[in-house]
Amino acid sequence: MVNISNISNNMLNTGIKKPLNAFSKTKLSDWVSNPKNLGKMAITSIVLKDGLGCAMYVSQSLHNKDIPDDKRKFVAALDLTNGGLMILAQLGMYYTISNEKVQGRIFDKLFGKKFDGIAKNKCQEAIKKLPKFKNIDSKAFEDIYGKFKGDIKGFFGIFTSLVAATILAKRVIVPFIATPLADKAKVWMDKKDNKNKDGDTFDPQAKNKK
Amino acid sequence: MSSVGSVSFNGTLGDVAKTATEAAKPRQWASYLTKEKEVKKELLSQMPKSIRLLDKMKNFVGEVPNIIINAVGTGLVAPIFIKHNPLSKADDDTRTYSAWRQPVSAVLAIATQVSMVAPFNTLLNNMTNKGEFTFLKDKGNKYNKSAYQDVDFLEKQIKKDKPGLPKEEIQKLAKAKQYTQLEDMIESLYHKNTVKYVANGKPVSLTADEVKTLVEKTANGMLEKATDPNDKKLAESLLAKIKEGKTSNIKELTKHLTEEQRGKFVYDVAQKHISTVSSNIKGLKQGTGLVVSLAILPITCILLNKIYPKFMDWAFPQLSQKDKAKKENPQDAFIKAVNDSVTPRFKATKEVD
Repeated sequence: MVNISNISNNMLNTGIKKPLNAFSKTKLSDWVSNPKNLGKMAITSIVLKDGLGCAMYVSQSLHNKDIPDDKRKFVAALDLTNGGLMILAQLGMYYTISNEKVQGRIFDKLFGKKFDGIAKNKCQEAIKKLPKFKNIDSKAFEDIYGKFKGDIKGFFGIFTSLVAATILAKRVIVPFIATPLADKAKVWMDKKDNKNKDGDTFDPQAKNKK
Repeated sequence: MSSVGSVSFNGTLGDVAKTATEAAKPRQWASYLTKEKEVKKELLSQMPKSIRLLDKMKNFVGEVPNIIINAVGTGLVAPIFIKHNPLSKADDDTRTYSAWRQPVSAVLAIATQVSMVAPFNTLLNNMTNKGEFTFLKDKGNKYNKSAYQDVDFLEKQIKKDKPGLPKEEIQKLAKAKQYTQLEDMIESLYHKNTVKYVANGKPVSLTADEVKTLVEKTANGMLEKATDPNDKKLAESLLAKIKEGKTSNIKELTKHLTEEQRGKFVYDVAQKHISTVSSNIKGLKQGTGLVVSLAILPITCILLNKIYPKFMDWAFPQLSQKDKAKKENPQDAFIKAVNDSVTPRFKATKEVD
């Protein structure tokens, strides 16, 4: 009888674990896992993934005969403008809203007062009133308070990136600009196509006309 | 019994609780860890509503919510800005036709991510948590989380061992187990000057050189962050000792510190180890994630191109002009068929009487 678990384990080993281990032994794995290269890696990933994706989608849409003739070029044009703007938007977000320093500034503006010196002292006083924390010294409290603030700040960063980059930039701003730009891209595609067609058309009278 | 034990030990929760009870012997840094945990809890209750809400929302962030948010954005938000775009000159039908590409692509994105990307990440997480990456010998600990495993991973393990246990109990046990692992790591660093972990099922330890680097990094971090002159002095004294080569043994290195300072320093060394491993894995995940995404890109692309026009033909025949095609003049249909099959050079044209 065929043992399914053995088959899946073999597939897992040859299909994923072995390639992963092979990758881990390359110099590239050292480069990608170096924290200093995380930023470069993120940018490479955006450009490579979205750039290739955009090129593939445009080419496939243009040659997809199942899409009605009159709409095919617009669909491809929208793929092109959407893809291009998506790369720009993501790079823009990477340097602004998704940037740790910018997120820090936004956090301080929105929640700074809730974590300032006065708020901290109030918290410390309230906590010291509790019998089990009455002996807590200021340094230890400040340390823990800092870590607590860091946790909340870290999550705020993830949250703002999610809302601003994933929803607002990628799904609102990009399609809003990409659609009118697609009109222009379609005109450009038409012109390019007409040029090619003119060059290709077999017209026996063309010579005589000249 | 120390307060560490009071986290979840009621004597009926099996192996995990047993391990945790064994670990609940008094330790000099246990008080620091417990204090941090309890103070954080108390701090949260003192915070305004907005901060408490942010803290609660932390539970709803993760891979699956990310996929859902992305798909909802692509499927429901983006089409509105394509279809009802006041700046576009394209006719309404063309915009509607193009807008529907987004929901179709969102469904496909969920399908490919759930079936390929998510299982791959789960596999990667499991491998790092179990210490199953067989790397070059000198990189053994680089991607190994077995000394301090993720809460999610621990929850899955406990669920597997105790299928009937309520979710809340599982969460409690997982946190307690993770806490014990941290305590063990601290104890091992202090008494044995190493971190113990598992690599491919075998027990392994950090080498003395690796610990030395870790301690040096921690002391450097302390020096950078120090605002208090005493803290600065303390970090400098530790770094001087390491540089002089007198010792890199944590116990000897921290001999001159108070009990609280020593506890805090060893705790920081453990945290440094945990964050370094996490950061290494983050980089690895980014690299492998890119490879996986690139590998499935042609699949999603082909699927979208096959499914999208078919879906439109079925759902909006008037938009995809399928109705019109049926009523088409036979001469037009013939010309279209010829033009589709020959090169542009020899295109047929309609004869006009």
